[in-house]
Order: sequence, then C-alpha cells, then structure tokens
Amino acid sequence: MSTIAANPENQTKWEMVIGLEVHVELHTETKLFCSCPNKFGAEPNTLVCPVCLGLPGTLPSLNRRAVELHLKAARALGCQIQEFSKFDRKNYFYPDIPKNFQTSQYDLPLAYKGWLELSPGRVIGITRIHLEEDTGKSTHLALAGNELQPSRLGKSDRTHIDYNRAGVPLLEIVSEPDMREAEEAYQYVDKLREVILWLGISDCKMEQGSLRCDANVSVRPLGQRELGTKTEIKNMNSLRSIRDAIESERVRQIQVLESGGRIVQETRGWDEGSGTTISMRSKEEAQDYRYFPEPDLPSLVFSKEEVKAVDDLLPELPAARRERYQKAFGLDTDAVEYLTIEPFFGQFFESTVATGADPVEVAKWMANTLSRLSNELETSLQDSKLTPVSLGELLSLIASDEVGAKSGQKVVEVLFTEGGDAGSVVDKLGLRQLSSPAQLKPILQEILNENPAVVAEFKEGKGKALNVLVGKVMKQTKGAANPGLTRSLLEELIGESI
Amino acid sequence: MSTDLKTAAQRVKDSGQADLWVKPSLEQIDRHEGRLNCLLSSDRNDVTRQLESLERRLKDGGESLPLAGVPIVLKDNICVEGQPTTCGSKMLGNFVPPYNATVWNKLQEAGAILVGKANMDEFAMGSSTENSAFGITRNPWDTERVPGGSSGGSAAVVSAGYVPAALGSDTGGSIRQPAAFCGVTGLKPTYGRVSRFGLVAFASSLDQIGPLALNAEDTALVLNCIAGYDPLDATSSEEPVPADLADLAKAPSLESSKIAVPKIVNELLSADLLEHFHKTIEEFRELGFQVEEVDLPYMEESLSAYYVIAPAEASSNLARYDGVRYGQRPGGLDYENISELTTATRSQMFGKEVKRRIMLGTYTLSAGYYDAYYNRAQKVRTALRNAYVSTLRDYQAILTPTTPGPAFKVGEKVDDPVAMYLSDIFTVSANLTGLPALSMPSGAHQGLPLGVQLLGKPFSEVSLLTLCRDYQKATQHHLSRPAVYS
Ligand SMILES: [Zn+2]
Repeated sequence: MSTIAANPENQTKWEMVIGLEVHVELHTETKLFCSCPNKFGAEPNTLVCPVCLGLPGTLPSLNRRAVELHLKAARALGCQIQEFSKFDRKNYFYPDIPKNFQTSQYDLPLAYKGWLELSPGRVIGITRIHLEEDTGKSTHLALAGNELQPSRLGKSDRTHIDYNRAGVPLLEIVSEPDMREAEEAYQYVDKLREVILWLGISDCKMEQGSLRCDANVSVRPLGQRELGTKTEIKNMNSLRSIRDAIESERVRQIQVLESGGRIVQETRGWDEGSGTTISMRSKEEAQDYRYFPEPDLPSLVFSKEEVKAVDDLLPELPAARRERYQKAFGLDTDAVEYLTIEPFFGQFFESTVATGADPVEVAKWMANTLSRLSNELETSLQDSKLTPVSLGELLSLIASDEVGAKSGQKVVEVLFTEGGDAGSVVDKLGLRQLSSPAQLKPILQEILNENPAVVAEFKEGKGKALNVLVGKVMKQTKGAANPGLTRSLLEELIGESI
Repeated sequence: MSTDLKTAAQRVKDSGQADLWVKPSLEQIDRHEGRLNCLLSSDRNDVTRQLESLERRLKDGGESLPLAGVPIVLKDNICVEGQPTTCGSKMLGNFVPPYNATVWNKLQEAGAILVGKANMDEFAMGSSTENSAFGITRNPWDTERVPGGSSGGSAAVVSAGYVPAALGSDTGGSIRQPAAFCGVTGLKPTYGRVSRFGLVAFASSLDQIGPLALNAEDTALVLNCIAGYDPLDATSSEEPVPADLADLAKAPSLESSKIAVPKIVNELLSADLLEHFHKTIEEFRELGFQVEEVDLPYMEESLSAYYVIAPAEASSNLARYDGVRYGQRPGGLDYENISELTTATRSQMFGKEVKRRIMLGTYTLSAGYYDAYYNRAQKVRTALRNAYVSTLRDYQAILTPTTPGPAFKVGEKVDDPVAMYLSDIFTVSANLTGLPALSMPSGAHQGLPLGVQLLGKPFSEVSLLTLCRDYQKATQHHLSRPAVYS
C-alpha cells in the first residue's frame, strides 16, 4: 500500500464518494437463454451450444427461473418492480461476447430504488438491479521465449476465449454513490453477499468470479455538493482488495489534486502486487453502446399481485431475524450473529426452542459445542444426525439435573454422529445422574460407614474432608451421582449421625 | 408438375414412388440453372438420402405426410444442418450450421424433399438479388431482368418450374415483391405466425418466413406445415393455426365483404399501371366484393421508418461476423489488434449494400441521434399500426399493387439505392405493423407479370388466402407461365 505523503492536515478536508456496481451470477440449472448447464470449472468451451455461441439464426429463449431469482433478490433488497420492463441490446465489439452485443436491460430495468442497511441507521441506496447475460472469459497470454504465460495488465500476444460463461445469468446491482469510506464499500459488499447467499440464488464466490465488483471513486473537498471526476476501479478479486483498492485510489486522487493536477475519467485496474491502481483505458474515448430494445425477446410484465406473491415467499432476512431474536429471546449480539450465519441455523434454533428449551442455552450450545463439533468432524449441522428434538431433550435432562453438563457434551457428540434420542444415549453411556435422595442415600451411607476417619475429620470442622467423601461417591457411582445433591445429602446424613 | 400440392402428395403416397416429383424437378433444374442461377447449392447426395428416408416412411404408412415427395427450395438464409447456409454473402461462404431451422424440421416432417437452396440478396438486403456475392439470378420471364429480391431465387424457382413451392423470408417485401416480379403467389405471414429459429436474422422485429407457390391452395398448405408456436422463438405466437389452412378449398367464401384501397395509390403509379390496377379492382367488384377508396396515412413515412429500423437492427444482428469466428482473415494472422482484424474482415467480406445499411444503422442508433431517428421511427410504426388496424375494422383487407412497376432490368437501379428503396413502398407497411400480406399475379404489363397485394388483420391468413383463392378461381392470371416453365 502506498502511504500518503501529503500534509496530514490537508488530508482531512477531502471527502471520498463511492458507488459500487456488483455483478452476481445467478445459480440456475441452465444459462439465461439456452439449456446449457450453468456451472463453474468445466473444460473450456464444453458448456456451449449454437444459441450461447450466437450462431447465425439462433434465438434466445428466456430462462424464467432466472427472472424469479432476480425478483427475489430485488424484493429482498427493497426494490420497486417495474410493471413493464424489457431487455435491450448493448452493442460493442469484443471477442468474448459471441454476438458482439450483450443482452441486458437499459432504460427499464426490472428493479429500481432499493436499499441495504450496513448498520442501524446507515443505509446505502440501490439505484437499480437488472438481469443480463454474462460474457465469455478471455485469458490474455504473452510469449516469454517460446512459452505462453498469463500476461498482466497490458499487452498480450495471444488471447484464449472460454465461452462456458457466455450466457450465464448475471444480476447487476448498482448502488447510489452513498458510501464515503473504503470500509463502507467493504461492508456493503459483505452485507450484499450475505443477503444473496441467504436467498440461495448465488454462491457469491469472488475467487471464481460469481461475485464481481467495480467501484466508481471520486473525491471532493468536504462540504462541496458537486461530485469530483470519478474513476472506475476494476480487477478487485476479494473483499479485502475492494477495501485496499478504494483506499489506495482515494490517496492517489488526493495526491493528484493537491499537487495541482486533475483527475482523468478512466478505468483503472487494481494491482494486488504493487498495491496501486493502474490506468487501463481512458473514458475520454467513451464507448457508445448504441442500446436499443432487444427484438428477439418479449417485454416482461409483472402485476402487483405477482410481486406480492414473491414477497409472500421471501424468507426473513438476516438483519430482521437478528433483531427479532434479540427482542424475543433476549440473545446477545454474538449469539444472533452466529444464528444468522445461514438460514438453517435459525430454523434449527427455533425448532429446538419450540421443544421447550431455554433459548439462551440453545444459542450457547449451538455457538459453542455444535460449532466445534461441526468443525472437528467436518460435518455441517444440517448434515449431522442431531435433531432439534434430541437436542431439546438433552437440554431438558441437563436442566433437571438428570445429566451433568459435562456428560451432555459426550451425549451430544453421539447424537451428532449417530443420532437417536437423548435419553437412550444417556442410558447407553451410563451417564444418567443419580439425582434422587432415595437412590443416593444407601450408597452414601455405605461410604460413610466405610470411612469413619474422614467423617470424624469433617465433624472436627475440616471442610475439605467433605470433598474426599464426594470423590469417593463419584468413584463408586462412576460419576453418575449428582454432585450438588451428593454434597447436601452427605452433610445431612453426617448431621443426623451426630 | 401440373397438379396441386395436395393431389401431388397423394399420388406419391398412393404409388409409393418417393421421387415421382423430385426426379422431374432435378431435371428441370439441370435444364435451366446454367442460365437462371437461382440456386446456391443443390446437394444431390443429400436428395438421395432424403428420398431413401421418405421411402421408409411411405412403407410404414403411419404418417399423414401432407407434402410427401414434394420438392421444395429454401432461401439460403434458412439453416439446414450439414448444408451450406451462405445468406448470399462471402462472410458465410463456408458456414455450415449444425442445426435445422424449425421450418425445415417441419417441412421434413411433412415429407417434403429439399432440392436446393435459393440465391438471395446478401443477408436479405436488396430488392433484385443483384446483391448476392454469388452471381445474379435471372427472371424466368425475361433473363435481362431481375427476379426481385431479396427472395429472388425462391420466386424464380417456382416461376421456372423447378419446384412447386419454396420458402423465402420477408423483412420489407422480400417475398411479395419477387413473387410479383416472377408471377407467383407469395405470403408474408403475421409476425410470430412462423418460427424464425434458424432464419439468419436481418431485422429481427420485421423478419418473417413465408411460402411462395403457384396458387392460394398450395401457399396455404405449405404455410399450414410451417406455422405455429415454437419454444425456440420467444416471438412466435401461441395463436392456434386454423384448420382451414390445411384444406383451403373448404374455407367459406368471403364474397361481398369490403376491401379498402388507399387513395395514395393513385399518386404513386404511372398512368398505364394505374389503369391496370383499376382492372384488378373491377375484377374484385365483379366477384361481388365492395371495393372502396380510403385515406390511409403514413404510407410514405413508413418507408423512412423502415429504412431506419431495419438497418438499426441489422447493424446489431450482423455484428457477430467479425473475422474471429466468421469470414476469412484477409491478412492471415498478421494484425496489430482485434479491431484491425475485424475491420479488415468486414471491409472485404461484406458487400456494398450490407455495409451501407450497417453504417446507416450504426449511425441512427448512436448517442445523440437515437431519439431523432430510431425512436421517431418507432413512433411512426405505432401510428402506422393503429391506422391499419383501425381501417381493417371496417374492411376485410387492404388492396394495393405489390410494386410500383414490373421487374426492372439487371443493373438498372444498382447505382441508385433510393430508387431501389422506393420500390418497397407498398410492402414495408406489413412488416412494420406485423400484419399478414400476400402478393398474387394480376396480369401482365408488356409481357411481364404484375402483382397485387392483399393485407389483412393479425392472423387472418386464411381470409387473405380465401380472397386470393376466389380471385384465382375467377381469373387466369396465376396460370400464366414463362416459356422455361414447361
Ligand atoms: Zn448454450
């Protein structure tokens, strides 16, 4: 990372303005306009057909599932739905778009005017969300001797194109220029990712390109309303690089302005190695995409009723769920964060609470024991044999002192790997505590009879002597005696014998 | 072939002789093709394979095969798996599609035999077939003259008796104008009536595939085979295909219904052609139709709108031919960058008219011009459709000449694109409005066929073809044949 050399006093008078364009590949079975499988990692150019290769005479047929997922994302992000929207052609020549136009949405995107809350009170506007087809993937290679090697930003000798990605449904989510710090951009993408993952409509893997982010960054003197000239930052391949790239660009722009220069509107690429952004192409020769309505696809029409149907099927989102858990169950921040890592955790939690278990205890067991087991055994909670009913039963056995908390850990591990009901597992492992005085008293009496010397010590006031007796009881019962009850009964029996 | 298609197919089924009509068809092709140049390919090995397959199907006897053994020709912008599909362009000179157009799948299912692919103006851009990269097709009536275009080859093969029916595509009159020039019947169906899957796109919102044949009944029968919804074409219509198309002879007559003639026709025709057109009107009146003159606005504007919208869509549809995947690279691999490669390929592989329209379309879609051209043209389009639909509320059909005159001489208009564009004045409205329209022979002028156009309500193909049938029942124009026919 480059550090700012300018006068620190000057730094504070600049304000950065950030808007983000996030592309998310929708996780559909098939591509947007053909029936090729939509998946990552296949051999290049094996998931292609005449339609997604744009062969002459072929036509697109819209994958309705992609539109459904689009609507879902749009409503989850608070967007309005255009009653009448359409597809448009974005025309530009580039070898990785097979038709030399990309079917996208221009002036009537399906969804507009949404929002995303970064933290209570900090809301970032979403300008629009539209659906488009992804492009193929170009790999630029440079000759090093006789070998072809990936070329970095700059000149290449050969370009290989993989069209497997061409035609994959892609959501473009455009934010308002509402963010002011690189950290906010980080949070925005992180929260967005959380919502999209929660809805199950994309796997959002930045390293595989199923979530991609471009940033528009400008700076202006604090207090000025007018926006400064912006640059577009590309090639940020991780959440961290989004933050680092934007921060580095902020520093660069301020340096340029403070040294009397002006910002050129251009596209810049983030270079992880040098920790700086590098000019890629100037917007002065701006692309004219010659948008016009896509004549091969009918327009999309959605009634208010259809939108409502989407809303009705929308799951509770993480932020709302956290708030509800805090209010309804008195859980703390860490607990609700854990329970909203994925939708299943919340379902499991609520089902367990429904068996009568204490919510705070359930959350604690999930966040600690179950999370540890999950990691150790490399099995997700969902794939484990543990059910909310068996966990609830175990917690109730612990609450009624029939099982010790420590033994509970052993029981839950068996329930996690083998399943079954908690009571049977407790008995099988012989972990049921002796918790009734009627059961315990004969055993205790026997111990007292066998150890008169220790009893005598206790009577003389040596409190520790009681621990010795408890230890012997535990040994005798193989740990099944309830320790608290054992103590009080021992005291009681010794008292009676005086 | 001196019989209608229905009888012809029946004779094949009755005799079990698959090549009953195909054999004479191939002979006729061999006799005249050297002079007429109607076809870009005619794969005889493939014909043999098709005939073998038909023979098996005839033996099975389980299928209806409405076009059993009927030889047909497809315009060379309709994809046939394993057969070259050049669109009359050097750019696709070696393109062999790995799939069939839906229309060809359907014709094959009906038992038709493809005997050749027809010459055309490059990418269907033109009105004379002179823009083909592979030579000019001659009009069978007079080889000094053009057959019209862009489906010139498709009209000429029917006129010259190669085949009883062919498919063309119509973006601004490309079926109807050559049908008129060659003295055959040709129909542009309602937009969405026939699947466009496998038709190499020129202007997607205007293109429609349609049949050319010798009379109304045959045209209807072929349309019946190719019409209907296709999941591969999102713009194809789910409107059911009416049963009358399969047997037009049984469709009830529309006698005494009203036909509209736009007044503007009087201003657009020369005196002798106008006189001829009025004879046609009289013929309709004698048949019992009420023919009335009406004001139909926007006909002149429609031509301008067409020449904005069609090139705009074409500029985008043809962008894929960039030298990376199609066309040759004149400079081998020796290019500084992708833009140079694309420029070299497109400059050399596209013909003049195609380049003219790509430039026109690129211009009208450009920032700053979009509203003045494309948007305005779309408004004209909407106004035009409203005007036509409203007229068609009171009239069964709108009757006009198909073209302002008969076939012109080869070379006569090549250097005057605007004069060439003007010959589309009566036909482009049907494409802009999406309405169905047919052209049928209406007599001759100085030995050359003339055609009139009937344009109707959405999905009224049966009505238009019934009008055509009744007209042809009462007149002899459609029975005239050029000397080469026999
Ligand atoms: Zn595909």
